[in-house]
Amino acid sequence: MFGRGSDTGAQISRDEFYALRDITFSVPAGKVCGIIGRNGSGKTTLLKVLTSITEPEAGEAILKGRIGSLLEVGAGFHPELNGIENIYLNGTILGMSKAEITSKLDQIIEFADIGAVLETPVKRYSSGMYVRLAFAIAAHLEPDILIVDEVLAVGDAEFQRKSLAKMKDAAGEGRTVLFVSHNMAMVRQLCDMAVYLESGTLKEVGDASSVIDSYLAVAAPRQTTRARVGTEDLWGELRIVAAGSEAVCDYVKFGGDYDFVLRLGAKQPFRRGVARVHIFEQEGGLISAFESLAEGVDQFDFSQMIEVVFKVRSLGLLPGTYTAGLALYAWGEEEPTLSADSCLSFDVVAATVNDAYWPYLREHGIVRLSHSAELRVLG
Amino acid sequence: MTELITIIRRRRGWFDLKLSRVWNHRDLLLLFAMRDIKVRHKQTLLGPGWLVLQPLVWTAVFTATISGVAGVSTGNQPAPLFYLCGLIVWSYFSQIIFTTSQVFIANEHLFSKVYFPRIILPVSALLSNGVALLIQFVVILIFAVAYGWMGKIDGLSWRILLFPIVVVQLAAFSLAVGLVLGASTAKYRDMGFMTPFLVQVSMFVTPVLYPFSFIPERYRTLTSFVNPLAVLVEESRWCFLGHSHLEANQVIASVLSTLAVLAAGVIVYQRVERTVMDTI
Repeated sequence: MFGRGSDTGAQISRDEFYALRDITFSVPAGKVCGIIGRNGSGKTTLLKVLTSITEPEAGEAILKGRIGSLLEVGAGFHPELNGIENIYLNGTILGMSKAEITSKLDQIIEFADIGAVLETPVKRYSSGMYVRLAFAIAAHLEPDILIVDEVLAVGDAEFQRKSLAKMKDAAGEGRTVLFVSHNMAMVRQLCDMAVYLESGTLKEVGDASSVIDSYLAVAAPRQTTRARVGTEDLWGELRIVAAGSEAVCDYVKFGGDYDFVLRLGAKQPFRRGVARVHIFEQEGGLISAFESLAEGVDQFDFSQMIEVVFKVRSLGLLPGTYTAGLALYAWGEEEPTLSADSCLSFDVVAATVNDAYWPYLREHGIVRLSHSAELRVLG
Repeated sequence: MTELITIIRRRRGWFDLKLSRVWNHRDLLLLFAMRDIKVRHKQTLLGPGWLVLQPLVWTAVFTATISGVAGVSTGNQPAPLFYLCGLIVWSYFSQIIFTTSQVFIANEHLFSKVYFPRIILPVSALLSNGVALLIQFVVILIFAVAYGWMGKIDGLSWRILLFPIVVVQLAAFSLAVGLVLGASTAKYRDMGFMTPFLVQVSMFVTPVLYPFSFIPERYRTLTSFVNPLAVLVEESRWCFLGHSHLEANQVIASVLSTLAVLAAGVIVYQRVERTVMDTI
């Protein structure tokens, strides 16, 4: 597969911009290629061009083989139709023929593993069942070139494992896979090569590991334990302070007590707010979320300024670099009104705990679950 | 492995029908039509009964008011049958216009995630609404047989066999206008307000409530060119009732006009579909 962007000098007006410019790369058949870059770097536009959803102004891409794209699971699912009807509808939307679906129907049903609800309209499905069915269809798409947008991040752990295995199979069977993701761990695990985009241009292409390393070196947010996002009308500020103190700390000690303070402000009254703080590992995987509602803080109304304080005692993050993000929801809404992934980055350093040096390092994992050990000498 | 090669680049042609791509997606075309048929009357009490009830109620209203109270002529034809013939043609047209004019907006989410030839959805609407037309056709048939048996009309004749040809032109014209409106609604939302208005106007400028013969003779050919629907309504009356004031050049004018609008519709629709998902 080849892509080539070229400057043909097409005129564009002032409020237009190039989402992609001068991107040239080729992916050999049978390789899995990750596409990485920050939000707004052009990853999604690249996928939309390659899948014919939108047409490029200039340049060309040559794709050899049947193309299948998965920019979303369950595209075109109709809530009133039952499971089987939606398998056919979604499957044909993804490019399979009716006969092909009929021949794979049993496999799809088995993979989805959602039991006896196939005759029920999908609007009565739980969101888990919905996603499983949708992914089962997608997983049985067998194109020569598979173009995937971060849709793997759905479903429960067992199902994710199954889906990941299916992706690996696809690569093993000689299919070419293009995979857009923010999750560097997953890209590292799945991809042979990677394309790193920055503000619509090609920053680096090559071996997945080395491209990811240069992305992480640049893309990690500045080391800061205080960050503000939003606009004058609605803003949020997240800071990490040592418990009981007001001073923002430079770094965080393993085992220490900290407050994650989310300060929120709005010009217009904001109703029924629910606040969240997300903690991510450096490679993008979500480790934990703190949610006000789950911790007993009722939906709150505010204007001007309030603070939601998440009190973390004996912090279990092992030494390493982490990022934190914030999100503000209006109760009952699916999408956050205000959100920022990884708006701040902080280091956790090893520290003495109970007067003893703590020997755990990052290679022991990401978190230490609270536990103790004893030795029993028997006999 | 068969070497299928896709080249993605800016298309420059004006008229790039890609009928082969549509043919490759024929399963999808049928499934979309099936979906619409299945879903349309879910959770309604009357179900497909609405397809029969709506034209019948309108026919009763028109028979009582336009023909009864206002005394507008129905050209010596039984009023209910006269109105029904016009109504099924007009309601097919208006249904297609409504759905197709909204096609990019209603399917924005789907279009931004998956590619298939966008013209498939409007074409599938022709099929799914065709089922409604078929049911209404049977209703008219029953009326025509009943009136024939009562001796009020000549009864059914071979002319009924030509009705499918009328339907083909009706579908082509509805699709054509729908494509033009769909493409312009995607670019200019004002058209979203324009469409319902246009549909209502089309009812009055088309001889649904009055006979074709009310149009002054020297304007008939011009009318047929500007509004092929007028000819289609008259043709459907001819199929069921046998009387018509149509002349050959009016039929030809309507066919030429349909082809011209269809070509224009396909061109603007395809120009818009290439990049509309960036701006919608």
